[in-house]
Amino acid sequence: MESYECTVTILDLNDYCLESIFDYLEGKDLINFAETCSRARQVFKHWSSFRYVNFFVVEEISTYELKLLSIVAENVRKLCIYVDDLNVFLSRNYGKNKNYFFNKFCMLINDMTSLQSFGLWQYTKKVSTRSIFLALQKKNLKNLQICAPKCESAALRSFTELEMLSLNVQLSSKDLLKSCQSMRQLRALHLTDRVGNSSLKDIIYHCSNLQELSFYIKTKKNNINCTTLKGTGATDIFGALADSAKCLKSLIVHGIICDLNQAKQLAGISTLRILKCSFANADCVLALRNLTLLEELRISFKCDVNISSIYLDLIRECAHLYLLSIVDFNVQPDFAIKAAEVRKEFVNRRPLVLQIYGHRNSTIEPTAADIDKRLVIYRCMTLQELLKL
Amino acid sequence: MERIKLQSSDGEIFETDVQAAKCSITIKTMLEDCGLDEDDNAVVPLSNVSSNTLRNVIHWAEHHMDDEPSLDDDEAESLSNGMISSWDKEFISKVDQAMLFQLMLAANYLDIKGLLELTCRTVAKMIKGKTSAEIRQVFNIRQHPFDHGQ
Repeated sequence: MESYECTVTILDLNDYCLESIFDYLEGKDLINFAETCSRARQVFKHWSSFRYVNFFVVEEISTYELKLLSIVAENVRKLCIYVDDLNVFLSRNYGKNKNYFFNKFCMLINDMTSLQSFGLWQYTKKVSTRSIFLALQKKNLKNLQICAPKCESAALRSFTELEMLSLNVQLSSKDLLKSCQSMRQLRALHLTDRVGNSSLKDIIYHCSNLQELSFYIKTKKNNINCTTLKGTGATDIFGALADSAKCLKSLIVHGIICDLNQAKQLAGISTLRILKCSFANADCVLALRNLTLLEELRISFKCDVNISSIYLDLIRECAHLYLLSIVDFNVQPDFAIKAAEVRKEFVNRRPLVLQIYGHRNSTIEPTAADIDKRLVIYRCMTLQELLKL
Repeated sequence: MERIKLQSSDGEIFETDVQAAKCSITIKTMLEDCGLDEDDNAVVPLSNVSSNTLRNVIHWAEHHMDDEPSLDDDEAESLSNGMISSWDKEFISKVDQAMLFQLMLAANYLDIKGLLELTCRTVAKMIKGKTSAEIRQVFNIRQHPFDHGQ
């Protein structure tokens, strides 16, 4: 017995005990212990399997972080890379050999068999991200977010299982269509103004499960005051959404809608629960009355007209509304009180949260104390909310 | 005070307070489930714990038997950031490495949370701030020839 006792070493501990030791370590110490031998590494891998599922390669990257990533690669489900930061790290640490280590990093991505969500941010063109996308090719990604100077459209095409795609890259509408038409599971699509949107109506046809969409429309300055214009691209998109996107719940339109036809088509997307858009015409706002399922509405109105009565109309028609956020400089001061009067007619509804950003003399702050809080909750607009608009 | 007999794997019998023995959830459950509580002459066999280890476990448990029952996980978590008591420090400094690991295994087998924490924390302290090579040296870990880090 004695002789047996003398030989008891750390590797004679069972996995549970070794894992319990890991519980009291952090940072570099974790990795240094894990790297002592294959047993420690294997136990660490198991111990960490629920711990490092989300991994961010960002800012001050350390060798320890990348070592950690190499051990837990199989467990990583979400990976976000700031390519410029990675490049700085590799140049600083490996100088001339940085390309070799960049490729090694890409091989690491290749080992991430559980990867479902990937995000890439790049602001300079110093590094080609091609090998990163090559490493991602065989993954069944569900979420993909790219913010980069450019992206080869061919690289996107293999992600046919995507449910969420967010693009901030220079991409033509033709390439967007080619990439998206095979993504039958797509539920959310977010596009910035760098992505061509003229093929959106075709994409909607292919991706009939789309629930969330955000995109930019272009507004010509001299069009702002026009009430009607002949069919423009955006009108087609709204029309296609009304016809084909039977599941669309959330729509965010960047850019100002000033065409009544556009607004009418938009108001035809009867499934909408969440809407965020900007208008330059009172009638366009009025058209939204038809969206009776709306729950959250964020509007910014760019005209010097008081359309408080139209907002009240919307509150009356959209009985499910529980958030109304308005950027408008002409809302009348007693608006919230009147809104509460309208809401009085509804039975068993949660109170409407009202947020308004406007001029000092249009603010409803002075009358806020008189508002019946069971009907309307008035909140000052937070900066975060304002930025959303 | 009620006494209880515990038998180590090599057959040695130790007598201690029931309350001290109940620091071990394994023994506590055994006593309650098998009705050994009632039987004054009952001996609890602990086939996985050697006499040397059991002696140390009993020594630790007798000091800690009046401790507050363990808190729920959240509170335990915040407590675990605290310090090791001076008695525990003294206790653990007197055991060699082999005994430290045996105590850890016994604490795991007997389900004694406090002792497991003390031993793990002690090993963690021996690891902190060292390189892999230094850790290997401290614990005499031999690397397999094909065992390379990635």
